[in-house]
Amino acid sequence: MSEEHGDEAAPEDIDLGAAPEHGEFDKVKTQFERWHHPRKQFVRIKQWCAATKSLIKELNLAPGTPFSYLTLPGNELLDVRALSGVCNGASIPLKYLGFNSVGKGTPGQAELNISQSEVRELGGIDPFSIVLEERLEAVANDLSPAYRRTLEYGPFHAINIDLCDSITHRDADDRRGSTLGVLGKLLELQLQTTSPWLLFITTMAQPNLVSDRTRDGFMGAINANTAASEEFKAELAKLISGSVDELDARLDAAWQRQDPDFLRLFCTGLGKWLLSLLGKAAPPRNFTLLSSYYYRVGPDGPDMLSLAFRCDTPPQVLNDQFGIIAAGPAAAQDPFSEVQLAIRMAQGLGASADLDQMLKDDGTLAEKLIVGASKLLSSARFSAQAYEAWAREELERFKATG
Amino acid sequence: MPSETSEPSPAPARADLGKDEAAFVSAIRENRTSGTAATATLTTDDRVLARITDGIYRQPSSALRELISNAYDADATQVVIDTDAPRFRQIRIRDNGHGMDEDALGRMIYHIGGSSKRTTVGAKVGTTDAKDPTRSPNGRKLIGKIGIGLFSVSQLTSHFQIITKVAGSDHRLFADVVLRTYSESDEPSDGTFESGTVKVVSVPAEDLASHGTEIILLNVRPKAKDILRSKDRWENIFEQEGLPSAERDPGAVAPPWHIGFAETSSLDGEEAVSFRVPPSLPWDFDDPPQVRFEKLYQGVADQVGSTTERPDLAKTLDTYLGTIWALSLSAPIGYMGKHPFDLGADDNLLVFKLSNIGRGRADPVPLQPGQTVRQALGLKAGAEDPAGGFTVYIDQVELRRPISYQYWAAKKQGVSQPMLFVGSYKPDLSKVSKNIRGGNLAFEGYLFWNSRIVPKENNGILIRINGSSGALFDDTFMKYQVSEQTRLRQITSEIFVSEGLDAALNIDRESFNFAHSHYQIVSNWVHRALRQLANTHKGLGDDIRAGQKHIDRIAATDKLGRFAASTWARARSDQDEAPPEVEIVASPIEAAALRRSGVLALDMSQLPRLPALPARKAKDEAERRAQITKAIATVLDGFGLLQDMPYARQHELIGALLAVFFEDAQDE
Repeated sequence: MSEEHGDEAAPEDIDLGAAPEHGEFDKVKTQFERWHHPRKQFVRIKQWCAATKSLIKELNLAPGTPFSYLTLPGNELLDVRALSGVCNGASIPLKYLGFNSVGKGTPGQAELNISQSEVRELGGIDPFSIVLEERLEAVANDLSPAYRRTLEYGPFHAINIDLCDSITHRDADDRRGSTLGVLGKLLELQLQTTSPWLLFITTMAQPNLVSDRTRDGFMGAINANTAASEEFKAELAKLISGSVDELDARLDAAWQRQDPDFLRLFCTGLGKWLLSLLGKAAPPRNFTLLSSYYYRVGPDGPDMLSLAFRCDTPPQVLNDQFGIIAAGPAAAQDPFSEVQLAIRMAQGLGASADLDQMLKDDGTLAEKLIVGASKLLSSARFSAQAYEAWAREELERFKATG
Repeated sequence: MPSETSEPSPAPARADLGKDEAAFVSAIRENRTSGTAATATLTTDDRVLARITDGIYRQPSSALRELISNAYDADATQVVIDTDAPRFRQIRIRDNGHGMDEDALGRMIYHIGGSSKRTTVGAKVGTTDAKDPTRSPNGRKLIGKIGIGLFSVSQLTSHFQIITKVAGSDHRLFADVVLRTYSESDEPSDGTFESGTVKVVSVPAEDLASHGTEIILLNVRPKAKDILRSKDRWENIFEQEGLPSAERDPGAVAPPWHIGFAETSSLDGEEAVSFRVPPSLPWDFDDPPQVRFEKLYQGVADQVGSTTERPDLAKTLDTYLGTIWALSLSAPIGYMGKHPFDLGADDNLLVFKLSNIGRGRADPVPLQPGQTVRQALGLKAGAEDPAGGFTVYIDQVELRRPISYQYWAAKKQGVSQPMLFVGSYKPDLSKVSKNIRGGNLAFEGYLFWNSRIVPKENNGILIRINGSSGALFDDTFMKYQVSEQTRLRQITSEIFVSEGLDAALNIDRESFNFAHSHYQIVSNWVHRALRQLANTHKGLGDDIRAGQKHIDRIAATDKLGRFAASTWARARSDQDEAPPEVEIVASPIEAAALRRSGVLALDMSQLPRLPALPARKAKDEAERRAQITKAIATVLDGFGLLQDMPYARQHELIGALLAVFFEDAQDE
């Protein structure tokens, strides 16, 4: 640098920001993604909305108190649109905190902005509801603004981790953050409430997307129960289509293969791990599976899971070892049993349903879902006609290829 | 017209503006069915643009203030702002006002830097009342004056989106605006400048009844982000922290309340943001929006006694919280408590009616039980809003005017109740030449005297035109020439202008043209009001003091104490006030409590220690030192040196002066 220019700031020292450009934006959309499939409408209505509806009935929220909801709503906020109907029906405002790592200046960002504008007009949406343009993984870092926002908006009545990829995509302590790490942070936050809450998880589950460390953790949680309960062991064996005698070998094999046995084992591991975290909290929480479904997006068989869990804080029972107080009705209740909860969870997973198969077998249901999804997508400016054609084609394709 | 529906066309010439606008509006309408975005090139009057690029909007709050004003003028009852704090990458401003249809949006886009408000065009495009162009459709007095409106956001970003909808419409309009950076070489001879391009699409909407406008400022400019993040301040603090303690700038300390300082780094290609300094906010997560604001105010007020006598905003708050504060002063919203005109007999204050006559006096206004100042004097400012109220939230904080009319108890004051001086004025300007009259003028106003004004920025006068103000309090009281060091520092005043004066506002809407006749009339009125307040205050003080003994306290004290007291009075040129009581106490908590009641309290532990002496001698020496310390404090206060100095610094100063005289106090 020459002497006379020595005091001038080099251009790279001055951050002027990038020159903006107009993004492209489709008025009426005709391109569909896999989360537009009618089976996802089933998940929205039968799993998310139904569980929310029954929880709201129990919550007895004071007038004006919103139902608080953490979500990964995509650009179209389809889940929020669907849930707002449930909340509106119960005259409860819905307050959502969303995460969406949409790219700056992309059509996706414009779509997200318009969707938020639409959703806020659905009625009963809390004015401070917002989708942060952040990765959910940022929440795993407790020094991040995203984590702070989450603390500010939580604890939640429902958390919806609706992923396209796998929840085990990264190990919990990955420096870039991981969904499992986030889940840990969210559970910590949820322990601040004794009110019941819902956890929805949609995740891809593939053998090659589960690290050794995560699998060992899941197995550790499972083994803790197999050692303690023959009944659990029997239920587990049933889940993976094996017998108690050859359980270990069957388990090893099940982790390797993309089939419903693997999916059930994956769910058991995940569910058991969550149960162990919540069951050891003070006071211990009941963590139960409400419903589980699986479907197929990849080439090798069913590989997506949609799970709905519920967390409750059972009433705490006085233990008067000196017998001054007569044992009342509360004392007569079953003491908290993690093993019993695990057995119930395993039984629930045994009833996991293959959504693709359900839609194939039940044409009336499929048609109902197409109509419902079409209506929902129209509110997000999709062409209803194009959607219905696409959805029917998707169902036909499954029928043909299985 | 092809140029309207395809890519941006060259800047239209002035004469074609109306034609281009009409074509643009029809292109937006056609977009309902065509699916092709309507595109237009923005042009701006070079006069307006030059002012903006000259930086008339100095603070990010100015742009937000303009957008809040636009929402108010659109009859919104609620504005919700999300700033994305502490990162400020995107700022969203959403209102539930009337929204804009194709005509209004086209009008706005073609007149960014102009305005359809307050002209008959406003009625045509539905932005003003059909009969009165100075009012909104629901009857609010409009506050957007020059209508720079949206263009003011250019200081925050060069890319923003507008999503807007009017009630009954089955479409939402989505406009994507990209602004260009001004360069003189681009300026064409006709005085217009191609300032940007806009693309509008019309998207179907099922929510027929909904209405409102959302403005999303994308990619906030790095400089604006850094101002909001208080980046320079934090970096200075970090730099100072690296220095040996003796070399540090004592002013480089974190404000007690702030949004924290977050930094972005890249982790294996993914962005990671972490707080280097976590936030320190005066409210809790579960506090409702209004409580958050009250706690912000309280967080500032609580500095009295513990940090400084006259807390100022810049030292107490970071830029972000300061922005919230500035907006709360400027927006046409309600007060934290009651409007000053709604104070009543139960509010423990003395009320006086200001006279509009040259040498008039303020008359006491006796309030009946349950009666308010408004009722007693027939005042209109701050009465019911014709559009049903106006609430502004920023990041879940509900803005309220941060002015409290609670009395600050003070030991040394002659008058032990706050005083409210209220008046109204509508001068008859019919005899003034039309050329200099500047239209009619009408206003109401008050001067509120309290023993202490907290924070110090609330000291002075604030002029609101139709409820809105661009400026902070003016502590010169419109250049009042009388030096009353004590009393003037005890007054908060607001003028509520309902007619006129807006022509005297400069283009930045933050300052006035002093030469304008309306400004001169208002300032004369204010100066007369100040004189009436002073006379009343003196009279009341004399009456009360006649029966009190605090003058005796001065008389009875030792020779040194008398010298200090008379020096204080001379330095202040104020014979009506007594110097503060000075006390030396053993703990900071005790000192804080005394300071809140007006005592100049010193904390013994922060002053030089006495040398080891035999018991009897020690007692005498302690008394002598205490007298000297008190005298020094009184003299320094008389000269006004202590009032803006943090308490810790006061102790350092007094300690240093003691050390000049007492070698044992010279701490190596």
